[in-house]
Amino acid sequence: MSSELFVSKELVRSLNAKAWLLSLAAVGLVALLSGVLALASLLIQPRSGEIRLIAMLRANISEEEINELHRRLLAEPEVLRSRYVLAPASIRSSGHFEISVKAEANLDGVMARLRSWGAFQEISSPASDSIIEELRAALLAPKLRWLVLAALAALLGSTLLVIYAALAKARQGFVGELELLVLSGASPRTMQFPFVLLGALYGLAGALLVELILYGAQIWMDAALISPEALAHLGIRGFLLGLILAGLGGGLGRLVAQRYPSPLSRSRMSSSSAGVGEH
Amino acid sequence: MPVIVQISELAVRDPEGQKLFDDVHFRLHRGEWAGLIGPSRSGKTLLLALICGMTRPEHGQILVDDRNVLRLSPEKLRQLRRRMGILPECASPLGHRTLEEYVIFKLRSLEYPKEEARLKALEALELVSLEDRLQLHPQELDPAEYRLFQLALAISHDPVLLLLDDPLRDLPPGRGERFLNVLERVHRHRRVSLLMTARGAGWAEHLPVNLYVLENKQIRALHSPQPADRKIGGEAP
Repeated sequence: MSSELFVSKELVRSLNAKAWLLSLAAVGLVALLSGVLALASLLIQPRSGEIRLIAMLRANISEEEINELHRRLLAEPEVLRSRYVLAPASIRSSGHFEISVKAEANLDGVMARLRSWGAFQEISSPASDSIIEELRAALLAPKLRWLVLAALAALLGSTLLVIYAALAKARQGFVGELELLVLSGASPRTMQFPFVLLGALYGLAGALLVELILYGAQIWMDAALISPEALAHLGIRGFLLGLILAGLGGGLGRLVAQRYPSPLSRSRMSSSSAGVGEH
Repeated sequence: MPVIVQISELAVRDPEGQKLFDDVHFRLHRGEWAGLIGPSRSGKTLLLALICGMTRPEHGQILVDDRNVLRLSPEKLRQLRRRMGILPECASPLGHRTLEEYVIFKLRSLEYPKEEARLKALEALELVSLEDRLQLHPQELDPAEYRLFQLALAISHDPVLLLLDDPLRDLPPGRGERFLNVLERVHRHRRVSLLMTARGAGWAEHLPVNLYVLENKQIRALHSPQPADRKIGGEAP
């Protein structure tokens, strides 16, 4: 394994500017595709059986009143869960309740009843949730479904094409070294492993990138109180999809390094005897 | 004298069915330096490719170091190839690394430990008189020095058989002599068997070389070695 890792290191060392550019494009496309696929996979799964409400408490409410409100909320037949979220110290507010209501409940009726308690200054459903619902409806609409599938297929095709191009460019800059290895009797594994590893690294780097971006986005949305329930664990999904693409990248790497160049079989004489089988 | 390469009844055709080799017999003895001469497209490179198992004939037997090349598994064939050093006529250019780094790259790829690879690389480059060019890149060498660098790569892992494909081609007049002097030194120091192809025979005049000519799809001995060199000589059947 040490010689395979050594040759892998030398392959990366021999990448030229064009090969690096294609490699970065491959990583970016893997991240984009993983993120888009993760979002699509979340949207097409069945809607959860609950709707989320945010109930902002009026100012100067006491701790006893908050406990009493929590008990009353849980006693409501339509309410599934209720969670009190304390406001940051910098904001002069008593905080808010995150309330999960059964999907089949009359939302307007529930909101009107809660308002009548007089403890809340505002009750609303997060705007982001409605955007997600619109996206879900658009994605599942019969007219758009095929368009969305075609766009996803085009994105997948472009990603694989760019990974292949990046690997082919890397091979092009390493062809002299590969010939040297062939003539020295190095094993096919020594020659293929670096390309398999490089292809897999494109996928892995893309997976880490999408995880990082989506994790950052989730933190920002949580802080801004617009975190859509439907998008929970999006980063993990993106990462896992990126790992699948890493496997595909590794497969493409093996494909690129399948045929070894041989300076002896390339010469003028043996090119005229191309029918003589290579061993 | 023991034989390192023995070719019998070799026959090869091209895709159009034209005979390239017909009933070829050839023997290379251990320690022998053989020169195989023939015009362009006569099959010199093909013969080398057949010996190192990169191409297969339709008929015949090729024994290298007592092993039948045509019956070896790919893994055994690779092991046999590790006992050979090959200097190709037209290899892709090398350029990213220095001469020393390239020889180390080859040896480390063949699983030599780091320090041993470094020592062997220095030894090989010194033997071909490139010890003052270690930190240069291949593209900074003149054609004769580049050939010597290729020779250093070929001998770096101590092969028992060296196959050189027209190494004098494209060398400016007078520069081939330097290469041949170094090759003679390598032959003497390493006691390696040498099979070298070329188009003409003039280069071999003052060297301990047995010449063979490839013509009419067969190999025949051109002349016997000088008396002083008979101890490493060989003959065609």
